[in-house]
Amino acid sequence: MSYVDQAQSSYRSATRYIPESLRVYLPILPVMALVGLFILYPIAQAIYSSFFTKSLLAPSEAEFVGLANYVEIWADPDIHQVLWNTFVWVTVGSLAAIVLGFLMGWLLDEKLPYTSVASAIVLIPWVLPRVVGASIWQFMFGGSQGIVNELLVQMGVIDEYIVMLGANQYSLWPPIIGMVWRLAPLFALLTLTSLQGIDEHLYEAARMDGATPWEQFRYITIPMMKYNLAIGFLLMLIYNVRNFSMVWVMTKGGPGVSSSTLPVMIYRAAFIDFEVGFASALSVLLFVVLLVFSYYYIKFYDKVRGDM
Amino acid sequence: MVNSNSASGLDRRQYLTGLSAAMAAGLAGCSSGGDGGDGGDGDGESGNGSDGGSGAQDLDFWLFGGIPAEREYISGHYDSYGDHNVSYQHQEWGQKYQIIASAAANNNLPDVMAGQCQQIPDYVGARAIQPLDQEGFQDQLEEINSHFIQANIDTVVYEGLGDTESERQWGLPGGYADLGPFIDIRTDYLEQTSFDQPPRNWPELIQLGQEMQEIDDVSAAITAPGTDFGLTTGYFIGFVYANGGRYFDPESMEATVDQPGFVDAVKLYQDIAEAGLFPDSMAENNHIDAGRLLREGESGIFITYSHANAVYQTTGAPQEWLDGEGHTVTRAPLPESPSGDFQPQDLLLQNAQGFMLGNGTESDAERQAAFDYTSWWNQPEQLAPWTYAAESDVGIRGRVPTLKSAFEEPSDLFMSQFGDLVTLYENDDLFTRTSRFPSFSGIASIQSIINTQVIQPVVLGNATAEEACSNANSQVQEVVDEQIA
Repeated sequence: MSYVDQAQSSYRSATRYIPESLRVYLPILPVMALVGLFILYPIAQAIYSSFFTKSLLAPSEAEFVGLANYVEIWADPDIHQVLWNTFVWVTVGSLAAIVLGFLMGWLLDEKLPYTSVASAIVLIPWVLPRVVGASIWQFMFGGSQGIVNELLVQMGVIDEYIVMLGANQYSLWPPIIGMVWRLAPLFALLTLTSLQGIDEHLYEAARMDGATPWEQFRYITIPMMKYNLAIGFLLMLIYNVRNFSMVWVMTKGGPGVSSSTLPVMIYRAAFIDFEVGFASALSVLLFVVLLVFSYYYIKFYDKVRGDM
Repeated sequence: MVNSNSASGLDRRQYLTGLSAAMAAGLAGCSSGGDGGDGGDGDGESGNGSDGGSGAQDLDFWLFGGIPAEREYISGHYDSYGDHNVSYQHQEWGQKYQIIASAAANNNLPDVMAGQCQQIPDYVGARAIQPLDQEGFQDQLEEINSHFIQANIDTVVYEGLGDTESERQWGLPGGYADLGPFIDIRTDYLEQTSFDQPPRNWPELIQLGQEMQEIDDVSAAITAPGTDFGLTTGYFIGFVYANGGRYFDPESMEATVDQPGFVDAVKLYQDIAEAGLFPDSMAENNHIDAGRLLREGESGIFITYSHANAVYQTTGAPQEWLDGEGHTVTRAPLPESPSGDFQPQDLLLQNAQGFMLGNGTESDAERQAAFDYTSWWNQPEQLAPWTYAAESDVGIRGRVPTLKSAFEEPSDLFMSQFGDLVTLYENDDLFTRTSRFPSFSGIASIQSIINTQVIQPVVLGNATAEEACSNANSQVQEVVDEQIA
């Protein structure tokens, strides 16, 4: 009797009093317990908290207020600006990261000298701790001594230093640049692995049929990569929607709320204003946004698997 | 090919799990983990010390924040008190609320904690601390208090906090106080102006700034932070108090941010900004960035607390600079004629490393031990490093001592750090019109409003002082209504 047969036999014997229909769930019970404890319970608690006014420092004095926190969200004078910032942050940041990451992945796939070294270097932004990366960008964009300003002056683009992190009209863009810097390498890696997965014979056949490089790209590369790109894009959207550290470290969401995104607003509500109920309601809003993106992610994932 | 039915079923589970994981990361911090326990008795009257001699106790001692020299001193000295077994933990200053809230909810509070006394109302609200002046401790407390300048003791006495009704003492001052508003002035730049001493009123401050602005190396004569809520507003609020302004009227519980006492102090910042004396980057500078501008010579005046040298210490300034060479740290100028309705206060004060009795004590014996340990830390011998006495120097700078003896027999190092303060003290002009920094539950929220809705728009030129204050007043009123009234 093989080891596997012995294990199966022991399992059957040990679980003989448990109905067959339930027995299949036993092996995953520990994992489900952990998921319940560390994921489902906090979610349920957050949703529950969103119906209360609850101070961070005196949670026992919570008062049930029904949907008042949700009503307050829409009455908040800052919410529209924050939602718009979140939209810009997510779409512009994700698209820019994808375009840049795609180009980087494409270049890395070319048989150029030192591509293996370049591949390692490209990953550094992704490997660096998030707060470290954000601090570097904050320093670089500083209005009084930042290197970005100095570079722009040297290149003749501007005459004098511009305050970027501390000005309403610019403050959202430096964190977006920092985020693109961090995420593009991830997409580059995804692009690289996708490109390496395309059968070289397809290109060979196309070339024999007289296809130009653009036609090869248009009719072979893009179709072969489209699902990976779509999944990468959705993952990036999900990552960006809940990204907090880049904005917080660089601008703290200011001046005012000019660079605040939803996660920053949640943090401020919970840990500066101590309004846990209101922060929970905002979190549920964020949850809904994530839900939409996750739904499309799964749909694409299903389609990819179906096509394989 | 994957069976579509099974794939679909599996994916639904994966989907739920995936989105749960994504949300949990965002939400876990916001859920307080249930109602938690009550963290002990906020009144703390049961501590009569009757069984205080029942042997060595195990005590937890937490320190929040502190500059490296302080942390090093405290971590090396905390167990010199031999009567009890003390377990020491340093806690992050920036996370104090989260740490306290979590500890209170999990009944894991320390027996003794040292931290910012401005937050005492919040700590009491969280049932994290208990009063010090409990029956059995009072005589001893009186003797300990006598070592300190009275203004420091006054900052830790509150009326009607938590379950208490009368005035109660909630802490001991520890080694130093932060005073505000303060300015730090580069003496090399001061010498190039018509001033031979620091400015003493607001018009003089602007005039001095304008004269310094003419100096070639100066890009912005007056520097101040604009981003870190607590300190940006903390540095500023002293000007409001000096002008007879307040966040709200404690009698009527009406927000007073739109009243002249407050608005005119904001107008001072507006005037400085309009004169081009603040750096363009002010709304992106934290207190360390602001201090760096002064130290590097881009600015000549730094609006700060008395802790300016502690700020420089974190930026690696040379020792001579930290010892006071090349700059003067002193009280900020006052308004010529205060326009507010409240009693003007020349100086605000807080004990940023005050000692409090945590609600982690579980028995009378433990409470007695915690009090004894707190008392021990507040003896002159333990606090000597904050007095700048040469024989006790451990490298602490930028701290105004709380002990009377430090002012009455000032050391050379103290004089080089805060000589102007000693002069004011000797003239009985330092602590005469002093109150504690605004301290009430909800302070962090109001500081955030003032920072983002008043100071930032005004220094950026997006709103006048009147407009910004008028807009912020209703938000401050909301906080007052929800958290104080």
